[in-house]
Amino acid sequence: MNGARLHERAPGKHGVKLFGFLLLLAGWALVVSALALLAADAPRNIFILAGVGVEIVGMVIVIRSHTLRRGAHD
Amino acid sequence: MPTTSFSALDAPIVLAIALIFLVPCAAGGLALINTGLGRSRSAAHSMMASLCVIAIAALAYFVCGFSWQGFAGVTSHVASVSGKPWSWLGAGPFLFRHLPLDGSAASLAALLGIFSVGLAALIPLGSGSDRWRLGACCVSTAVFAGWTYPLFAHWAWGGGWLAQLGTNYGLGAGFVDCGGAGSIQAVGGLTALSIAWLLGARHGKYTHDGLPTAIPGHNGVLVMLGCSFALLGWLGLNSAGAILYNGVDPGQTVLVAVNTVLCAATAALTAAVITNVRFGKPDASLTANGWIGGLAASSGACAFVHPAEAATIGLIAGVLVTFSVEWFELHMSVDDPSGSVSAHAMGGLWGLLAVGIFGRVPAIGESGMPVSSAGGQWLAQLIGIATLVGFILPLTYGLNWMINRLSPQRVAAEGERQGMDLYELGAGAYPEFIVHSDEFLER
Repeated sequence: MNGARLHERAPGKHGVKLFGFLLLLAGWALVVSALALLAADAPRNIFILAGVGVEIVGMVIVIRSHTLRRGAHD
Repeated sequence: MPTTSFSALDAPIVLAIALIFLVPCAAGGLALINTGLGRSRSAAHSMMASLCVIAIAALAYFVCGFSWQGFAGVTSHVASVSGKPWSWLGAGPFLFRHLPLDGSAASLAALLGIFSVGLAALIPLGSGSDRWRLGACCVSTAVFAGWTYPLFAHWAWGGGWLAQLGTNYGLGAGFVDCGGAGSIQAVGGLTALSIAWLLGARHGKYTHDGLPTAIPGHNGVLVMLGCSFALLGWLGLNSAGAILYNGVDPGQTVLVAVNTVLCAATAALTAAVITNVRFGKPDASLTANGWIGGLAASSGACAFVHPAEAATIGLIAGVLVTFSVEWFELHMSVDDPSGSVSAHAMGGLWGLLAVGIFGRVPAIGESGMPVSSAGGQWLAQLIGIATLVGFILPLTYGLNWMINRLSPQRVAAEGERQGMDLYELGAGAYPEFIVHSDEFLER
């Protein structure tokens, strides 16, 4: 069976994937906002690291959404 | 008349042009690697697609790519954020208009860009090998070369907000990317990941139990020859990038070249040793991936590290690439025949991080003048990496998802069974070969 078609058949995963990508964007927005809005070094660095952390969570969710899709059709 | 500091018949111009002329060797090398690691029944299609991708990337870059990438000191769209100027996008005219092609720094950047955008666009071709339709990869390349690549290249190389992190916020010298570890390798590698996700695995790659099966490349000689060409191209890419985008003295190309070779050498040997220890014999394709991963990692800091540090960067790249190839295939269900995601994305991102760890980059203070302390360089690099993963990956995935919705990018099942050569081109690369298609049997 065609791998792409198998992916399309997995139910309910598009929302998870979309959520993961939105988290990636939110993490980046946090990084950029910290740069733009915070002048002091310490809070700026903390918020940048927090943004990177949000990106990591988003990346894990995007990866899981694709991995789960394989599990769904096996 | 030249418009910048480079004057006609200047030695740096001759050197820069000679170095830039080496860059197409890297593209040729990647084309050979992608073809060799794919199936024999898709070999002609792979080389044909490589030519088309390079051609379309050059045209798209000529039409609008370079104007959006821009060059430091050339007009751009600037937003004032909390009183600081943030350059978001180049604002030059399309079609190279008003760009004197006379050896000026901007014209050399355009020349380097027209080659390097083709190199970056070839990276996703490796992950979509054996199943990516020719028409679809051409459309995807046009979008990539006309928008995605120039956008990040402007931020990193064209005087954009990442490059301004030093002058605006005192973060070292701002985001540093000597030879394109981010602008070329990571952007191309993340696009390759998007393409692999969207296309799905090749037929027969995963069993019903979800375990990956080996679909070995059809020509190891092409792969190793491609690695040799790639080294030649990377020597030009890293050296020209360091001179043009980082203001490195032309005499330092010796250091850049030594670091590039050492980084690739240690990465390849590390991959060979790891596979030898784990599997009993060194694996040729993973060693080639290690070589390319080392080259990709070298592009970040090649002008700002000691050779011993470059060797260390390569060693870590070799470990990273070798294990990530297995991780992507086994645990992430990513069918990436050429290892493009591991070699280019992981290698490139590591190379960028290595600038912050090992690099001794002359820092620029908020006044715009060089300062002695390089503190904050790691943070500038981290912000660049966060931008690649947090913005460029969703962007390139979204653009390719839209293309896929308009017209499916994956070839029909019959095309995959016949082979891309016969299905899309009507003739095979090796007409005297007998193709065995036992991977289409149910497992």
